[in-house]
Formats: sequence, C-alpha cells, structure tokens
Amino acid sequence: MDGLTEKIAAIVEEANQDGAFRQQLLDEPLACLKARGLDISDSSLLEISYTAGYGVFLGIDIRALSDAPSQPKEPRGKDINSDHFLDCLNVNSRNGISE
Amino acid sequence: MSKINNLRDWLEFLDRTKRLICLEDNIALEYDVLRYIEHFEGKQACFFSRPGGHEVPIAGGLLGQRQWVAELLELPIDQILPAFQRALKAPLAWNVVEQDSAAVHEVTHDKDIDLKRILPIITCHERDGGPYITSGLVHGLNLETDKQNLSINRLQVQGPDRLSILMLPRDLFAYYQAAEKLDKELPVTVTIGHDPVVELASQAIAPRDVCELTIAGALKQRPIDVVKSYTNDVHIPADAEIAIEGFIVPHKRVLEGPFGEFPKYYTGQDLLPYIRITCITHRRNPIYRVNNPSGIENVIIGGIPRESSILERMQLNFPNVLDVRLTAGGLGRFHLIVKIIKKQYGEAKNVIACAFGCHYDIKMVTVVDEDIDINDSEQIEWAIATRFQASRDLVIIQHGLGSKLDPSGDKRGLNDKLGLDATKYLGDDERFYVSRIPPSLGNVYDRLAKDSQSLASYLRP
Repeated sequence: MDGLTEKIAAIVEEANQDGAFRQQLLDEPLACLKARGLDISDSSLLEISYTAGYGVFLGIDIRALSDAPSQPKEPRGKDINSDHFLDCLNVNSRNGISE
Repeated sequence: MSKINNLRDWLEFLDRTKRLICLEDNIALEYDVLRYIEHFEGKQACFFSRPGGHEVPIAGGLLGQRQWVAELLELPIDQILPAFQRALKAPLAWNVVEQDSAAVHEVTHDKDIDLKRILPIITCHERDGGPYITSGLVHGLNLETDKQNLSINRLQVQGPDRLSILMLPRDLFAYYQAAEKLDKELPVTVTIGHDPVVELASQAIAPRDVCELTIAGALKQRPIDVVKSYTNDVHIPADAEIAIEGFIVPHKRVLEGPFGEFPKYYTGQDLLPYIRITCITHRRNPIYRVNNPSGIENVIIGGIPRESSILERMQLNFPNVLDVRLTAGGLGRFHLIVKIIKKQYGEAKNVIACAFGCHYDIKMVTVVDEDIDINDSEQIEWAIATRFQASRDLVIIQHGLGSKLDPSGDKRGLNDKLGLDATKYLGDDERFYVSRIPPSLGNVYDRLAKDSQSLASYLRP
C-alpha cells in the first residue's frame, strides 16, 4: 500500500469501529478528512454513506488527491520505463543479461 | 446443436452423470461454502439449496476437469483447442430477444437495492476484505464504438448498491479510461450463472471490440440470445440467472481488498473504481454461481481459452507446434508446455522466445517432443530428466514483464522468465531410442483370471 491507501484504510477502519467518529465523518466529511491528512476542497468529490451490515462507504475523486493512482494496479512512484532503461545500461543492481 | 443451453441444463447433466452433490441447508456464506466447493472440486460439483439460510441456492465446482469441458462442448478432449481457434477466427453475431421474454428479466429490483438480501454472496478467505462476487461476467459498453467486451472481474461488495471492480489493463479498463476522459460513467451489467461455454469464452484473448459472447456463439454454433438491460444499453445473455445493472463511476475510487487471488496469495488493499448499481434482475428461482478464485475450476476456465490463443499465435510462426498446455500447478497462467516436431537445431529456443511473447503471464516454458503426453506431468518430468541439460538447454530472461499477482516477482510486474528445451538432441537418434515392451496380440485384460485362486492354491497347496 502507498501512503494514501493506508490513510484511507485507517479512516474507514476507525469509522467502522467508532460510532462517534463515524457520525463526525458523515456530518462534516471535509473537516474530518482534513484532520486525518486528506485535504479535499469540495464535497462533490466525495461519496460517503453508512449502511448497517455493510459498513462505511468512502468514495473519493482521485483528482482531489495529488498522489493518487490514476490506474489501478499500475506501478506508482518510480517510472517503469526509466527502470527498463537503467536495466539496459546495467545500472540497476540486477541487470537483464545472464552471465 | 448443443444440449446444454444454460446453467440449469449443465447442473442436470452433472447430476445425471453422478458428478453433483447437494449440501444441507444453512452452510455459512462466510468461508464454509467455498470450503465445501474446494474440497469436492475436480470430482463433484456442489449445490447448496439454502446457503446461510438464504432463499437463493448456490452452485459451484461446475468445470472440475478438462474432460468435463470436452463433454460440455460435445467434442473429443483433443479437439477443445482447435474448436476455440475456429471460434476466434469466426465469431458468430448474437441474437437480440425482447426484454419481456428473457428469463433473466423475470424479477426486477430497481428500488431499495440490497445486494446481500437479494443474493447469497460469499466471503472466500480469512483475510479477505469482505464478501466478493467471484463469478460475475462483466459486460462493458465502449462509449466510443458502441461495441461490448466481456470479462470476469473480481467484485467486492462495498454497500447495498455499490461494488468495487478490479480491472487489469485490458479491454474493459481501456473502455473505462475512455469514458473517464469524457467525464462519463461506463455502462456495465454483471451477469451471474450461465451456460458454462459463455464463462469459458469470456476468457478468450480476443481483439478489442470483438465481444466474447460472439465467440461463445461460434463455440456453440448458434447465436447467443441476448437482451438489453433495463437501465443501461448493455446487452446480456437472456438465459443468465442474475443480472446486476449499473455504471462504473468516473474518477472516484474506493478502498478495496485484501483478496486471496488465483495464485493462492493475497493482494493488498488498493483504491479501485466502483459500480453504482441501478437495477438487479433475475429468474423467478435464480441460482447463484460461485467460482473458487484459486481452485481447479479457475485454472480450467482461465487456461483453456488462453491456450487456444497462444497456440494460434505460435503456429503462425512455427507450424510444427502441435499443442500447448498451461499446467494446473502453474495456475493455468504461468507454466506453459509446448509440444513440437523438432526439425532444426536450436529451434526449441526460438519456440520458447515466441511463447513468452504470446502472453506476459507466462513465466516458464517447457518444450517437449511429439511423443510426450502434455497432459501427463510425469511424462513431462521424464522428458526433462532424460533430454535436458541445463548448460545447453536452459533459457533465462531477467526482468521481463510478468504477472503482478506473482508474489515472487517485482512489485512493478518485472519477472524472470525460464525456458527448458526438453526435446531430444537432433542427430543422436540411437541414444534417444525409447525402450519398450513389444506389443503382443490382444488386450491385456483378455488374459485376466476370474479370481485369485491360483495364488491361494500356490501359497497353501
């Protein structure tokens, strides 16, 4: 998990376990998320609900989050193409050529 | 024409041929349903009449062996891949039926949708993030071309009318990216419970915008009857048991996972797109289908269509490639066996290189001669034991693109590739002459004694 996913996982877990925090999240989502390190400017970028038997649903528009993934299951952080390039130059510790 | 036209026909066929067991009521949806399916899979399909007390029954373990697929398609087992190859070359357009006449539309829920109340959705593994639909066929509509794609995607229950969806970077994901650029929702309908041919066809590696339902039609040699969904423009199999209509929301993501994926390891949590459900329809007495995500059935459903696509591509370059098999131990994805008539020195290594180019999931390729039964892992190992020398016949490619679900690989999907040329060395026929017992006349069973009296009388004269 990257930091953002961890942050959201922690918020959802806390909201599912702590009724007071959950109510705060449902009532004042922007302030509540900001206090947990997620600064979102507009509530239209969020979808929040709670259903007994299902738990808290927290959908966030990734355009509101600067370090969010744009593609699921794609590498993030380092550029995969630059790694391949370094592989070709034998710069990485394990290069792509058998001895 | 096939006698199997929907899930019910197949269940009755399995029952008639003593390959289906019925379980008692109230087997828990959390873990236990899958525990039974996994225990019996490969030998018996399972039918749970009231799982967890739910009114909707569950069926699972429906394609337990490759031989069952041959029976489903009414073909000899060695004709499964050629049939898929023919279907890929000549898809058959679907047939649209009236909305009111479709079995899948017999009952409609379009208000106060509550997934868990309507469907017996199971939780699979101890660390899973919650209940998942594991056998949902996702029909997506390309907003740019009006064509459809069919795929199986894991779907986590996120709310009474919300499902998160994992889309690997293939056709459906491309549709979704295009819809996001337009700031539009992507129309999708998830169907559950089909003629198993439709499930198999969904895994074909077809060109973009060739809907896999048309490949299913070609396999069955008759058009698949489809019906338009009520709340979007997606066409779905009219004979399906259940349909979940909706739209994948653009730009928004929800926390998903963990989930025990097909390699039998967990994928962690991530932020994934989700479906906004607009309507659920089903038959009057629907059957909910469960697919064991890391079981034999998954290997078969995922493996056979991939094999046919790989064989097709390899035979373009090497007409002397006779057959391919993605092994069960390799999860129907990672380990490929290729059978060839070897004609030239070094050719097997070219075949290995070609195989890696056919699908990025492939991690190990073993090339064997035409005398090896590639369904028999002992024969394959015998070929490696007696025809393979590591210093001469081993190919290693470091840092190729592989499956991101292989936990031994790089998190970015970089994966080492391994090739084994286990073919006989050309020009040394005498050393590779296989010993055998000369065939005698008649069947060995013709000479069996009626009882063991000869042993008893010899031991106690």
